[in-house]
Amino acid sequence: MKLESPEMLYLLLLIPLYALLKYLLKAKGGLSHSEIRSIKLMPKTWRIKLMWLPSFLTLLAFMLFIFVLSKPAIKETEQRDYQTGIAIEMLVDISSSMDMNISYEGKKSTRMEVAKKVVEEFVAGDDNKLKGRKGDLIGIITFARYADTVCPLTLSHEALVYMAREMDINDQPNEDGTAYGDAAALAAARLSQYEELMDQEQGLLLTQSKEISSKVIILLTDGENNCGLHLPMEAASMAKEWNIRIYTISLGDASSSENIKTKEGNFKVSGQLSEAEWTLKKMAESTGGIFRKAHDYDSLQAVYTEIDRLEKSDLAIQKYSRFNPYYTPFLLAAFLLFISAALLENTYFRRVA
Amino acid sequence: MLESLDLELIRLQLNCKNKVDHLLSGMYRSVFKGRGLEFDEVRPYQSGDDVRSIDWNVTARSGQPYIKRYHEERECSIMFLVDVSASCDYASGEKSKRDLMTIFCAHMAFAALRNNDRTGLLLFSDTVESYTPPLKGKSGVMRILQDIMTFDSQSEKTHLAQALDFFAKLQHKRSIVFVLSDFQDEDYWEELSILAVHHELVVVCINDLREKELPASGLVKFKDMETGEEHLADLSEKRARNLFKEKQSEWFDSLQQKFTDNGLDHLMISSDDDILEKILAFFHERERRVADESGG
Repeated sequence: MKLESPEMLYLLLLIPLYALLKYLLKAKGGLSHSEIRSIKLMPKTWRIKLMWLPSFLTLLAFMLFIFVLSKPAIKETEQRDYQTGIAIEMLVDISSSMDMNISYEGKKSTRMEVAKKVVEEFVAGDDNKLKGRKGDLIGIITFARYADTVCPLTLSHEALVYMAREMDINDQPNEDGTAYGDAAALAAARLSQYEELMDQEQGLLLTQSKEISSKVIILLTDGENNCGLHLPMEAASMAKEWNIRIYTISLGDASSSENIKTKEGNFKVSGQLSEAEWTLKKMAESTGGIFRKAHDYDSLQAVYTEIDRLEKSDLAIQKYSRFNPYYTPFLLAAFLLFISAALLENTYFRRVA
Repeated sequence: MLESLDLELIRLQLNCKNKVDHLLSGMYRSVFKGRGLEFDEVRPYQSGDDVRSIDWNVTARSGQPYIKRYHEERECSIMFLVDVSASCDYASGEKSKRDLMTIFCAHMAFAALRNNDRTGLLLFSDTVESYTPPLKGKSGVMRILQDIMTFDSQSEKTHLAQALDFFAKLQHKRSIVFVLSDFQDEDYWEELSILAVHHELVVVCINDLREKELPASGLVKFKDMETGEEHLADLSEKRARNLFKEKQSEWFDSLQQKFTDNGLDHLMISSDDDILEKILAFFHERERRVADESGG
C-alpha cells in the first residue's frame, strides 16, 4: 500500500476544525428549562450514551474521503515464471521404413507409433522421467522425400500434441524417401527466422518478449539421407552458423547396428556405426549436440529423456511490481458511513428539541 | 408593543375587577386586618361619650374629664417582592411564571385598591432590580402591574436572600408582604423568617406544570435558563420520566415542608391551577387561622 499524493493527508488537519465547528454550532438550540437539576439526575439511556456515534461516523467518513484523495495504491507484484525459452524443432521421419515393428512395452508396434508416442511424451510429459517442455517453443517438422512443417514453433503444446498424433507415414510412393538434410535445413531456417521475427517484435510487443536462449533441433530418423536439395552436413553447418544444436537419433533395429551386410556376407561389427549414422553423429557433434541410437520404445524414451535433461531451461523468475489505484472499498465505506450517519442522526438519534 | 401592553393591562384589570369586587375584597380585609387601634387624641368629655374611654390620668391632672380617642388603623401597605430571574420567564404553555405572578399580583393589588391600601413593588433577581415604594391609588397599581409584566431584568440568576435582606432594612413599618418566586435558590430561610416576624409574610411559590412532569417525547436537550448549562435527556424512557417526576415532587414537598416548619404562610401555584381558586382557598384557611388566633 502506498499513497500517491500523501500531501493530501494534511487535509486531515481540517477534521479537528470540523469537529470544533460542529461542537460550537451544536451549542445552539435546546429547550430552555427553568431548572435542570432533576433532569440531570435522569438516567443515561443507550441513546444518550451513543449520541456521539453519528458524528463519529461522519468524521470517519471524512477521514476515509481524505484518505481516498491521497490516492492509495496497492502494490501488485506480478511474478512471471519467465523461462528464458528454448526453441525446439522436432524432426520426425515419416518415410515408409518407419512402418517397421519394434518392441513397445513388450508388444510390437511400428516405429512411427513409438516415435509419435515419445514425441508426445517429450512435449507434454509422461508423469515419470519426462517433465514436459512447458514454456518452450516447439515445432514439428516431418519429412520423407520432402520436409513438411506440421506445426510451426508454438507455445500451445496442446495443439502441438494434437498435431503430433495426426502424423502418419507417407503412403505415396513418389514422395517416399528420407530427406533429413532438407528437414534439418528447414528447421534451422525456421528457428533463425523465428528469432529474427522475435527481435523485430521485441520493440513492439513487450508481452511476447520471450528471449530464445537456445535453439535446438531434434532429428529422429531411421535411414540415411537419400534425397532432397540439402546435404545433411550442409544443414548442420547452417545450424552451426545460427547457433543451433542438433540432436540426432537413429532409430533402427537393435541388431542392425551390429550387423553390417556387405556383398561378401554379414559381418558382425559390434557398436559399429553405419554410414548414415556417422553422418548423423557428425551433424550432432559439429553443432554441439549428441547422437544416440535407439531401437525400441524404452531406448528412444531414454534418449529423449537425456535430451530433455541436457536442454534444461533456466527458470528465471521476473518480478514486476506496479501500483494500481485502490480506493473503491474505502470510498464505498465512506459513503456507507455517511449514509448510516445521516440515517441514524435523523431517526434513532433525532433530537426533538 | 405599548398598545398591546395597554390592552393587556386593561384586560387584566377587567378580568380581575369583577372577581375582586365580588369575592376577594371583603375577604382581603378580614384576612389582612390592620394592626388594630391607634391612639389618636385626648379631648374633653362630651355628653354621650362612652365613660369607659375616659383617660383618668389626664382627667386627674387637668381636673376636667378627658377621653382618649383611638382610631382603628385600617390603612395597610402591601408589598410585592417579585422574582424576575430568567427561570421565571419559563412557560411550557400559554402563561409563563411571570404571567402567573402578574395575575396573582393583579388580584391582590385590586383587592388592596378597593380597601384603600397602598401597594409597592420590589423586583429582584440576584440583585434588587427595581423598587417602588407603596403608593396609593389606581395609577400606582397599574404601574406595578406594568412593571411586573415588562421589566427586563439585568441578571438571570436568583439570589433571594439579598432581596429579602434589602427589603427588611428598607421597610420598617409593618406591612403585608408577598414574596413571589419559583424558589430556585438556596439559603434564604433565615431572611424569610426574619421578614415573617416584622411583616405579614405570604410566600407564593410559582411553578410550571412541566417542572413537575415531563411529557413522553424523544431526545431533548435542556438548557438551564439561569446557568445556561445544557443536558441531554431521553424522554422516551418512562423510567427516566418517572425519576424526574419523583425527584421534582420530592423537591416541592421538601420546599413546602420547610415553609410549614418555618411557620410561613405559603401558596403553591402551578400553571394549571386557577389562581383565583387558589387565592380563595388560601384566604379561607388564613381567615380560619386568624380567627383561631384572636380567639373568636
